[in-house]
Amino acid sequence: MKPGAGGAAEAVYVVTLAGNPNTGKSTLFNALTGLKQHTGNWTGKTVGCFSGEFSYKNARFIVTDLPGTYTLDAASADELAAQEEILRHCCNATVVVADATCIERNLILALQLLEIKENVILCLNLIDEAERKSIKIDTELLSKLLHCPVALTNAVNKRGMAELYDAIYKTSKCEMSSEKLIFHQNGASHMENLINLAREITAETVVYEDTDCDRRDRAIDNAMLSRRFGIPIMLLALFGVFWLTVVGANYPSGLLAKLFGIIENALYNFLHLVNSPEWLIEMLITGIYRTLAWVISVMLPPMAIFFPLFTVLEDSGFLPRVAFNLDYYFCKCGSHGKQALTMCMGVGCNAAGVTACKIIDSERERLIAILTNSFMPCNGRFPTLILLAAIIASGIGGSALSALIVFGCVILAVCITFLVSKILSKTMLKGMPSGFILELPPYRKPRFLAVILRSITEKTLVILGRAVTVALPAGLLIWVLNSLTINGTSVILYISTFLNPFAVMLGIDGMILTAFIIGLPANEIVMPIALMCYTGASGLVSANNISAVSQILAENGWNVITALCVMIFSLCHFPCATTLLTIKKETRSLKWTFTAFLLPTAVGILLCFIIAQTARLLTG
Amino acid sequence: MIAIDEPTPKTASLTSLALNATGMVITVEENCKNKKRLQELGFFSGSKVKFVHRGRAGGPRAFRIMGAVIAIREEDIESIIISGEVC
Repeated sequence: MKPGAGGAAEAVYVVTLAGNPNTGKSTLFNALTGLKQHTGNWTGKTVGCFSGEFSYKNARFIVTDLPGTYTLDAASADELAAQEEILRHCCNATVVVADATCIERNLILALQLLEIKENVILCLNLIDEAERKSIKIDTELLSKLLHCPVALTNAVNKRGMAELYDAIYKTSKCEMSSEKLIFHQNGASHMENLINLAREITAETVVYEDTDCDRRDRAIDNAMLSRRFGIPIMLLALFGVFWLTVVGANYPSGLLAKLFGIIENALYNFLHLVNSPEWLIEMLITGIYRTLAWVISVMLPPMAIFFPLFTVLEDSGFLPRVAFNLDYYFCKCGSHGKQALTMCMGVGCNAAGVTACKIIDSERERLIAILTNSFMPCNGRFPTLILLAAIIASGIGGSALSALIVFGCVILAVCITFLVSKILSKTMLKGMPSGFILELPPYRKPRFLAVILRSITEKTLVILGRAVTVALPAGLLIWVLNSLTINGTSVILYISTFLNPFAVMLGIDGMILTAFIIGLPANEIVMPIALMCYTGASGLVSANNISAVSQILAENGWNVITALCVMIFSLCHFPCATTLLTIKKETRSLKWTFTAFLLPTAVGILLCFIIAQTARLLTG
Repeated sequence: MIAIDEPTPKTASLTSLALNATGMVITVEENCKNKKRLQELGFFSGSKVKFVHRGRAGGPRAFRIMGAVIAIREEDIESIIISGEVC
């Protein structure tokens, strides 16, 4: 689209949002466009460019939200994307989003942009936080010294948006503009000139009335980053999240299962009423409907609890502290501390985790982070882990024990990540750690209601939608494989009998291995498939009845070791198809995609083999 | 690189800064791999830097510079040169 090309009805203008990382660009983008771009309180959350639109007065604006960048000399892939977008594409207005609490450093990028563009608007965001910290800004003088319009905003509560809309409108219409900044040759380096000017301007326009304005953050960090309490606090928070998820998911899961049971009966009666053939009823109900009901009632409650909790941690500024505390260990493994951030993203979805790896500058360390990301159990695998943990714990203890087992799985996943990262950096991806430089943002109070709404619409429903679209055909496929018989034996039984000898060596069985393979498109459907295979023609049991499920599993020869091996294999096996495609896209290499497929699978096979064989030796 | 033999008293590596003390950045050594990144974060001649958090031994440390708190690994901290305590 040609920027500024006026259509018959209204003009279209292109607006770019640039700025340092974590200055609230995405929040501002959402405030401008009314979209729901993912936001969070950590550096490198946005790694790609996103576009949206809004209309103001009689014009239409296309806004691009860029990944944060400190200067125009990009170091990492995400910053490079921002830089290319800024330099290559022409736009009608360039909004530099600056953190009002940290103006001096933010001005460096603003000055660089003023050198190359004449349509710059400086937007001082997070103005509420600046006021709380008693930072006084002389906006008029700042605007005069920079020769560019300045807008004050607080995107979270939409404060100052009217002025920003107006500035964008006027700049786009060329009614307002910034003046090109030219440095005269003075022997100093370009960077020196920029920093000195930023310093001078800040000294004239900004007053820090409270020199110790971040004492609250420092007090929290004294605990969060301390060598004694840092890691225990992190572990406690993690356990708390799992405990709440496990306990909280129980009740709604049962309720949903009951609801689906009622619907099933109604559906069954209806199909009979319209004289549907028996095979069609079988296919629709035991095949498709029950798989779907299973996936939703098992998946939805844990996700609806986990995602908001995780988003609260993300918004508060917790994740960079995790990276800080874990960096020592990543350094020892020859990889990057920011891998802790990509790991955390992987807990939500491995494909998102792989994309987040862009924040790591060094190609070698980025590959390590990509290859090890699938060890972190994503949300598709959590329900499987929670279910199996509940089955193991059901005889002994309550939900606290199953939360502890799930927690143990995640700790194991982290340990495997460290170990495999170390092995990779000594073998395939040899090299020295490149360094770790990460901004620790101020703690911000998450807006709980917004967080809950956002994580449900933004994540839960999206991931559930994906699971459902996979569950429908998978349910059909399993039903067909189950019903199709050759010499009186169903096709699925042929497959699982073929895989069985190998699976038994790993402490699992042919059915569950088949389920893992069929579950390649989405891990969510592994347990439903396995249960459907076990129950055969009679169809899937009613969802989330733990005692019924564990009875079926026990009837099929499961014991604690089987459950344990399935959990381990669930942690360590080939990533789902979406993640593999993302890896292909991010690495642009079949070799690495293939490695990402084989590596976790090999680890899983090895671990399960050791556990199964040891258990067999011990029990005779 | 030309070594300058000028006597520079009171300059030291940032590693020597005591916890909660403030120093003035003089330069980032040429051989530092992350020099550019450090500079754009404000580690530049004349910036005040305060050592605010120490993690476990051998791990990163956090410094306040230009109003932000930045975590850096030890080997990069070593290549940041400061002039003694400011306040």
